[in-house]
Amino acid sequence: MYAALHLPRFRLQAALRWRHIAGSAVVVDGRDAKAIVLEANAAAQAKRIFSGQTVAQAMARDLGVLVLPRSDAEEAALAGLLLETAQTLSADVEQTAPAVCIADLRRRPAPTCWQSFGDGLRQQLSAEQIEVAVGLATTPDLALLAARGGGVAIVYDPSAFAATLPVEAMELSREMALTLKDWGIATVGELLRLPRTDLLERLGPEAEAALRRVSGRHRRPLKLVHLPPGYHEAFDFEHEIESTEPILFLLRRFLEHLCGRLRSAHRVAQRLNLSLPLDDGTTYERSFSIPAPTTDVTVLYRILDTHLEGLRLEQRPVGVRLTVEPVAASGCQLGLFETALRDLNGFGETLARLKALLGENAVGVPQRVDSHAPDAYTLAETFPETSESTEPPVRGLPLRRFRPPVVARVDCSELGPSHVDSRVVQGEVTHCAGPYRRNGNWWDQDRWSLEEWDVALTTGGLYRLGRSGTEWRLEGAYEHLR
Amino acid sequence: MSTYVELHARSAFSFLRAASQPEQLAERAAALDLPAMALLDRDGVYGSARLHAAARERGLRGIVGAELTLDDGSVLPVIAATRPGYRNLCRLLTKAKLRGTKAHAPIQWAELAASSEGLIALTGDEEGVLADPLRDASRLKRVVEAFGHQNVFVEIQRHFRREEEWRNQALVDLARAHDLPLVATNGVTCHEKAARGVLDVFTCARHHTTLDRAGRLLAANSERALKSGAEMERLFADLPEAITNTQRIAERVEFSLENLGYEFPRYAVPEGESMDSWLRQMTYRGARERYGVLTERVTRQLERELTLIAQLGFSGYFLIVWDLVNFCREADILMQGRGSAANSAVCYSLGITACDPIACNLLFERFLSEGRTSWPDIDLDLPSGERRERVIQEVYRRYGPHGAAMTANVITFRGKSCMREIGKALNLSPDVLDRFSSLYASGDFPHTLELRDQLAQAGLPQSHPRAGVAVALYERMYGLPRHLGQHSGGMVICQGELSSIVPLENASMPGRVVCQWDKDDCEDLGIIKVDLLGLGMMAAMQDTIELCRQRGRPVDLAQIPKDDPATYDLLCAADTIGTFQVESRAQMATLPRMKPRCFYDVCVEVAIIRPGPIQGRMVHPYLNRREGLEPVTYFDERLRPVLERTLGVPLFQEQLLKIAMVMADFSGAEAEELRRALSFHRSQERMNKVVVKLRAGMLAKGVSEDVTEQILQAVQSFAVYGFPESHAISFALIAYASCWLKVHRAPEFYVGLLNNQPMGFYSANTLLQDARARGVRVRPVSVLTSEHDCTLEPEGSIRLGLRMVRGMDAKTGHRIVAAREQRTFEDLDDFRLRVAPSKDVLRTLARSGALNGLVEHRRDGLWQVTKPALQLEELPLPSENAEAAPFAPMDAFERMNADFTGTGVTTGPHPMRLIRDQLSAITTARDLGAVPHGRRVTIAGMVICRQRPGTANGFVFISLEDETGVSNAVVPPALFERRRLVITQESFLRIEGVVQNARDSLIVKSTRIEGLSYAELAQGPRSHDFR
Repeated sequence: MYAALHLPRFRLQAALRWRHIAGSAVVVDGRDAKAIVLEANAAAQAKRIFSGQTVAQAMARDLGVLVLPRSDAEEAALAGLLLETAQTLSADVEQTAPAVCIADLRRRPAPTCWQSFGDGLRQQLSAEQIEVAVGLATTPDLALLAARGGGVAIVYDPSAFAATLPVEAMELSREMALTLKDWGIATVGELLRLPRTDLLERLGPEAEAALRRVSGRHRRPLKLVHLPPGYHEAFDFEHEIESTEPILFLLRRFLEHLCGRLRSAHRVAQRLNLSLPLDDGTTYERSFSIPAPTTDVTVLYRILDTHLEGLRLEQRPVGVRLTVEPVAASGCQLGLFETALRDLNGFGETLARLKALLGENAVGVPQRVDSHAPDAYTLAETFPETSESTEPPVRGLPLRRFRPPVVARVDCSELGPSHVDSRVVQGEVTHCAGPYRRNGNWWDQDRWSLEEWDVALTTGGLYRLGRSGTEWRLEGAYEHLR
Repeated sequence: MSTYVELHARSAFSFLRAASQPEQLAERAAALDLPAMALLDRDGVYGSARLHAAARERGLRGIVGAELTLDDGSVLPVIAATRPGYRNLCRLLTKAKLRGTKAHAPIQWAELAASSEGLIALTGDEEGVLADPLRDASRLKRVVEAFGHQNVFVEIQRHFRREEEWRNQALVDLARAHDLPLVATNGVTCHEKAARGVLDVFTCARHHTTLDRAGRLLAANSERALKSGAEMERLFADLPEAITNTQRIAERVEFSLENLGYEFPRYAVPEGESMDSWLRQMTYRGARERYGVLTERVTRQLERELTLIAQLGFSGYFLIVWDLVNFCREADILMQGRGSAANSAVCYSLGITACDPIACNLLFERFLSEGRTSWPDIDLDLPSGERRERVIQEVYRRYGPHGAAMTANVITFRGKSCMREIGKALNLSPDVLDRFSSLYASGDFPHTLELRDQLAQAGLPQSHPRAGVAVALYERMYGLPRHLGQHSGGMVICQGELSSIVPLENASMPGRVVCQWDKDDCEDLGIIKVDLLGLGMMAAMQDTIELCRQRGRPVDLAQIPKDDPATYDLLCAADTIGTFQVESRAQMATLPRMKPRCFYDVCVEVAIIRPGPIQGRMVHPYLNRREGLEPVTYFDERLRPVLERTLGVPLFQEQLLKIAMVMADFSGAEAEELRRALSFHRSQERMNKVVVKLRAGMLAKGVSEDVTEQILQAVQSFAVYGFPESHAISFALIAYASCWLKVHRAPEFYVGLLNNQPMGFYSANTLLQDARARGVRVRPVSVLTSEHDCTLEPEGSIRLGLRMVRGMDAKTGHRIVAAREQRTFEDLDDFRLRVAPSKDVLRTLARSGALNGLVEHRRDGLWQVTKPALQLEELPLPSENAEAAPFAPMDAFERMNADFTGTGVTTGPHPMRLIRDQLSAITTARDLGAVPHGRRVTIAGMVICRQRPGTANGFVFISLEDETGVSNAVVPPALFERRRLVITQESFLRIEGVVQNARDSLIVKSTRIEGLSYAELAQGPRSHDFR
């Protein structure tokens, strides 16, 4: 016997997994210019919202419908969970499609009741708010077709089963589905009643393969898969988010869930990979090595929490993904220099906390940002690969910047600054050049505007002054020969 | 006044390289007290005409020039100092534009020397020929060689940027080393600092990036806005000669667009004749044909017109248009003159127009007057499509590729395009932008929903940190030029080379050349434009006439009686679907009240449903007076002769001119000024000036304040949408003819309409419903009988043509017809073998029933066509070819859906008839007329039209079609906003409301609207929405 596990409305289930939705909801292919409804939940269908409609048409039927774009990451996470579940049934598992797994049950003892077996599986996933359909049959393809009908379906008589099976369940190519629709064929039974030679002459090898699948006589070998190296969860927000609270809330739920899955597989987490897709299309990624691998949610959560507490991003996150790299619980080997530490996880957390206290800006490799803003830089985790500079050639005297700039009191005359007073330098201005004006990010909350002056002081130095609003700062000193 | 002249400014006509309109630049320059300003748009003089007009009004001098992109990528700004210089500039640009592509058309360095006379070259900014002065010094030598030492100025700019100072120092050294003068400019890209945001958005659009990622591609600051002379003098205090040189250059510039040197082509007349004498001869020859006997009144009018035409030097123009008309006649192309030309007896006599202005008492001054400096307006209506293209190509042939061009059409940033560009730059979610486009696809709705709310509905809440910026940018960017298209029919021609008057470039459409100015610019600069406008109805009528001739019941449009009772009955019953101008929902709503019974009533009907009369609140007074519900009164008894035939209500532009002449003693020239203000929709300022003059004139004549206000209100409401009587008469001629054809030649008329789709207000399916309601039988597409076009069968039924089959190209259609003419198709295999249609076409033919006759029914056809095609040598014997169809035929719903998918029309039952027994308590369109006023009803049907006229204060009109006809509903703004998506997205609607049946106007005032969704009803045919 083979068991096929099928997640109906897979894309919608993936999108709704971490959300509690009471009303109608649809998942759309947001990557297309005109988003099209891919799947709709029961509440939406009750309001006559169906796949193939545009978002506007769906909203015409229910203005309050929740429209979620399809998410590859969420689907991958759900597909991973399905595979894990199938692996608990048998070592011989095929992931036929992201939403379908087929398990070969022939090497395990048959249960006393196949119906109860199927119901048990459904209940197990139902606890995770996942709806699964289970098909049980003597061939993998029949099991899959049975699963597509929903609920638990056991095929004892392939002919009787095929007679009422809708042709959509066969997931035919668009071309063949259209042809069958043209012919008015709705069920596999109707298809089987067509003269076989004529049918094959018209529809070719695809029809032959389809008929073979429903015959119940064709037993193909499964394309076996193994568990992926990590346990993965993902969530995409409907809008960009401004604070870390929603991320932390989700991460805790992810960890609770993932740690449960790890424990049931007798494994522990040795590394956490966090990634935050950002609104400019880039992704913030960070990997956390767990000094003492564990499934303790509190410990793992604290690592993430400490990191996010000090994290400042230019762009806003639009999603969150977490992958746990597992290791067998008993096979974990401590590092050579870490064994002396009593609490490895505690030490890692301390380092992270230090970083949080000093700020992300205090650690890393500085890199110039492409901006008119003076001294705009970012910190990279690693040294960038050497590449040709696109910077314009630097002319004039080198400037030694004060980081941070020094607050100054500046008196001005009609011509510009006339006197400078700061903790670094004081004096009358003998010569000045400027103003040089720059401003930017006018579209954002981080808008800035700066007026710069180069001044020579009676004390002999050459300095750069900057004024932002009414506030003056000494930005740097020019290196020059006196 | 300052000595500084801004010599390097770009406008938004540099397309994505600057952010202000030329008018904004002129206004700001005048406010800053600059004496002159040069507009140097990138690779063109696109904005110069507008700057010229705006500058002239403000006492500013507009200087013309352009930034030239050279073949090494550098940019050379040049100023036209003399007329030859301007001509050289236009020719240089034309040569490059016609040689290159839209995106890349550089001028070659080698071409500069030969075309440099009269041009002054600047060295440009960071994109200029001296972008890096140390590296590019050799380029300076080339510029000097090309333009001459005295015509080259080294340009320096100061935008408060440190890097710029390094460059400027090098430029000063370079200028001194080469003994060249310096000139200061500000490299202006916007009129004020606040417009810089739009410039940054444009930069992102050019570089396909976002504001967040653009980095140093964006402007470093907002200093490229126009600056005052004092400010520039302060900036260049260390280089005062750079400022004085701006004045020196300005003084050297002799050329202005005022003296463009444009000449209309001369008409070649026989030896011994002048253009005046030849026009006179031709006019009288035509007049004798038109009028028969020339009465004194006719002769007097002709003499008056001919004298004025000769005096103004317009004889050649009339002869050239007459020549084009003759070409149309000889080529058998239906043509009718339109526009103010219809006011001229000369035009009527020459056969340019079809309406006798003397009999219609039309105001000649509307067409031509002594004070007129611009060319009179003659528009020619032609059948759209291939026949009009023949006329356009004839004009190119006659005047050469550089002697004629289409006028440009400036495509501007509007609702969707504006928000999409802003959204992309601000990195807003594509979903939001798609939704915004989808929700507001049919235009902007400023009446009831603020942009902020529109954005919120599209998924960008007002709390979003970038929502405010998006709205602010939208307001600034809306209306700025986006790209240049071509006008639908306006052509300009010239004596000699047009390319020396205005640069020409290739249009996207092959074989078309377009000039860099739009029709208003051309008119403003005195360049004559002939509008060769394509009208779908002209094409339909010409096809109808040809069909009538073939069927032995010929029609001469000039001879159809203007007093045909049946035609007026049709108009009174508003049975006007498919006709010209009187078929819209609003026209149909007015016709039963208007009850036209003579030709002039049709003219009024055409003119009255226009924004001008509606906004001026003229419609109801006119209709009430017509129905005797209110007395006929006049603003002033002196206006009785002017307003008598429109019952005291001014409906036409001519009447307003006449009112101005009678009540304010306006001369012909002043009336012309008023006309131009009325039709020149870009300038409110121009309108305001005329209004002041009119008020003063009326005051001087002792017109009471009350009457003055009434007249001024009428004038202002006509400002944007004024409709001339001559125009109305020309349209009414076509409208009446189309109604007459519908009454008396219905089958031929519907065929004419179907073969010229898309056109008009309604879909082909609605036209077919209408045809059937008139008893015309419609037969489906069939490969056994259909031609490529729709045709008439001998007994008078319409046979749909193969052109109706969606996805089938004309070649396949013609191949089917040709193969059938050789030999009738024996069976499906024979058809497939000889026509070899694609698999998809074959399927569509089978699905829409076009193979019936070769197969048992559609499903059988769909089964047969999936069989692999036979080769010639395997052609089976007839007995082998009989295969039983294993399917039942399609049911009525399936056939209907297949019809709409395959051909867009159905010859079967109306969708509403198919679901009628599932509906309860629905009043059909036929029964709605019997429902008393004020009674609640529910109507339902297929949406054929949604409209939200700008004059209706946010009310929306919906037309629903069922198997008995069309019912109309009006939706209040609040209900529309609540049910916007239902209304705009659903193909079938159920509307509850109250019948408004007063005064022959029947409409349901909606209170509740639902989608009518039955699984069996797929998408209906395309509706006419918000156009």
